[in-house]
Amino acid sequence: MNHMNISNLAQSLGIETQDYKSLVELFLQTTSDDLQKLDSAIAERDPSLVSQTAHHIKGAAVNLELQEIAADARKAEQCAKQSDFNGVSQAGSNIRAELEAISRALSKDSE
Amino acid sequence: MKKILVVDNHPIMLQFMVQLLEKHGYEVLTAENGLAALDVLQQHVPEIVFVDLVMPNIDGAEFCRIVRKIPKFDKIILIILSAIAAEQPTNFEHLGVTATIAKGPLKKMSTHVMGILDQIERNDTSVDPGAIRGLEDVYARHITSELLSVRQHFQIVLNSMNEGIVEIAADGRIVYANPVAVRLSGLPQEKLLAFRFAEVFEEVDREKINGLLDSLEPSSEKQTHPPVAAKSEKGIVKINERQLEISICPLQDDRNKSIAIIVDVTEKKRFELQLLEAQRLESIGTLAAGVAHDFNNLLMGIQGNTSIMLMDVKETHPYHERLLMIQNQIERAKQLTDQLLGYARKGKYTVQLFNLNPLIEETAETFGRTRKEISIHLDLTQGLLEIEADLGRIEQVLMNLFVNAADAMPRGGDLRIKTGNITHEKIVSTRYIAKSGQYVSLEVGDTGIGMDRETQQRIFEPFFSTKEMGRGTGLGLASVYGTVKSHGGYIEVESEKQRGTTFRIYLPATRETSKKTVRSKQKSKRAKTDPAVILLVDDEDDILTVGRDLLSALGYKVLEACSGEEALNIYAENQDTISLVILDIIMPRMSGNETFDGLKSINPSVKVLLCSGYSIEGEVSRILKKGANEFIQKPFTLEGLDKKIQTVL
Repeated sequence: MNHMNISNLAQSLGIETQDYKSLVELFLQTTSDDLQKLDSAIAERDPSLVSQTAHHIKGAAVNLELQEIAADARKAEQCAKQSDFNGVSQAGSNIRAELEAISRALSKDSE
Repeated sequence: MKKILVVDNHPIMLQFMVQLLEKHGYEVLTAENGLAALDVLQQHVPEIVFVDLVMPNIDGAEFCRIVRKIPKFDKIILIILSAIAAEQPTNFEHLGVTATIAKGPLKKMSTHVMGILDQIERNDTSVDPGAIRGLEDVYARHITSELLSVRQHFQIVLNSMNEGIVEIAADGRIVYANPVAVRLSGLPQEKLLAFRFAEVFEEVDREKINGLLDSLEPSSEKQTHPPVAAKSEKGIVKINERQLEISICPLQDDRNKSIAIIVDVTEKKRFELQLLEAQRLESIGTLAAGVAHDFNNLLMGIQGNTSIMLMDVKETHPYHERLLMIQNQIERAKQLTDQLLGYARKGKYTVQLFNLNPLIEETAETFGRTRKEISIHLDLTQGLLEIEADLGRIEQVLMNLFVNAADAMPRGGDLRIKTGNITHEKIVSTRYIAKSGQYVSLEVGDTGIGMDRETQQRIFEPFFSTKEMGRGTGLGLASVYGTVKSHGGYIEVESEKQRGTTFRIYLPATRETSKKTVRSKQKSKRAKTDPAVILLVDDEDDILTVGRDLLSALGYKVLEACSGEEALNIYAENQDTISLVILDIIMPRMSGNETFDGLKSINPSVKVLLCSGYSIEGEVSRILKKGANEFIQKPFTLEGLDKKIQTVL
């Protein structure tokens, strides 16, 4: 995600760029908290908690049309269903990487 | 400017909606869950509410139901904005919503949100609450369906439970209550949710509840796997006259919530009380019966000797009248012991079907003649069902109650007697639960001095009396109690000092009509005149002596045995000559029952007259059923003994 994408995304959503950025910042914050919960759920081998947390991330990502994150969150849900915690862990790592990319894009946009 | 409340636990959703709606000139309020939304509604009444469905602390559906039940909110327009709307395309009309929007991409949601608002502004009544906007933008989310399915599963379980389940937020407010909890609280659901848990209870119990909540161990941040069951705290409290046992345990999550499990133990406590009461009175009854039995045996000695002396003393003898007086006194003493035995429920003998009303009229008239200062009022139901009872005992019950009432009105007053038919459901008592069936109710009330609570609790105990020494035996009401209980009935008293007393008796009714059936034993026939040999069995020497003398006076030849073993030996050697065995029931080592079995095994046709200081209930009744011929209660007169023997022989 880069400066162009943020604006384009905002436009495609019919939202002002500034508003979209504040939503994305909020998303970064809440998803970061959710990822910590996901880590705990993986450590405790709790598929139900994994599902709930991944579902939470997915919903927000879909709202903001962050399709890659939404896809990874969906993957985490499916792995949880099969108690594939390695799969969940991989999906979580992917989401973290995408969050970092978004964060960099936002920082660049602020410069 | 229209006010809109947005209720959603997702901060992104809240922020998005605030941005969108404020831009279009609306004043926006937010809440993160149903509980917080109800708090907002205390201060503001928005025109429109957008509400998510899945939220902690009172979900969206519950929030909608609560709002729809509160009249001052009936103009609020409710709009569901939820991802579940896509997962479960259910019609949400029953929640009283105006429209439903499925969550999805923000752009599409904006379109649907603003579209609905536009229709509302234009008062467009074509808005279909059943149609779900945004379904086309959402793909199937099977995982959500599973999560929802689990949720629904738990909902069904919680709704089916016999216990009340309440979820309490960290601030002590109720965020969930299952149907049983709502019913037990006595509050409508819309009031119960968001109420402080402790305040549901009476003031006297709130400290206890708060104490239970405070004593919970805080949930650990690190959850264990599997989760360790948290220690629960328990207590008994009262709501609306129901006794409830409350257990509270913390939820093992990071939100410091707790779960209260509420069990209605009212019936259990009532049974416990009933059992304790029954055990207490039973033990007193056993003691009373034992005293009566021993006393009757003593009276037998006096009666027997008196009867024998009367045979030899002419009417002109100066001692004749004194002996008659002694006999009368023995009869009165026997009536006292009968009352004791009545209390111990050992007094039922002659059972017949009859209607209570004529007996009441007759007894009341007899009583009224002796206590003219008492005004008697009868309210006797026509078509009163019949009862199957010992007429003599019931008559005694009536007389005891009338006397008791009159004694409470020394300067006169009103005595009210009422009868009726009643079913078990209508019998309301804190002391017992009536067995199912039809009953005949009898109420005897007075306008006398009344009783305090402490007296009421002891009123049926034998020897308990509120009268001064020498003016009452304390056996009248005890006998009433025993008679009623032995007939399978119930009795209770209601009284207040200076406001009178009412006794209520419920006796099992029968649908059979009386055929004048008297199940007492047949009247004795004229005896044979030939002398017969009688084996007299009793472990007490005095009774043996008196009995022998009485029987000899009647012209019988008497063999004596002072134990069951001796009786069997004597009978085995003389069975061809012994016409009758008079057998005491209560004997050490070999009881009357065992002796009877032994006699029967020697000669199945043996004739046995049972004899006891107890009455016919219990052991005597059992042996009669096994084939014993007759029963005579001590003390007996010469005439009484003669009649019984003639009956058997």
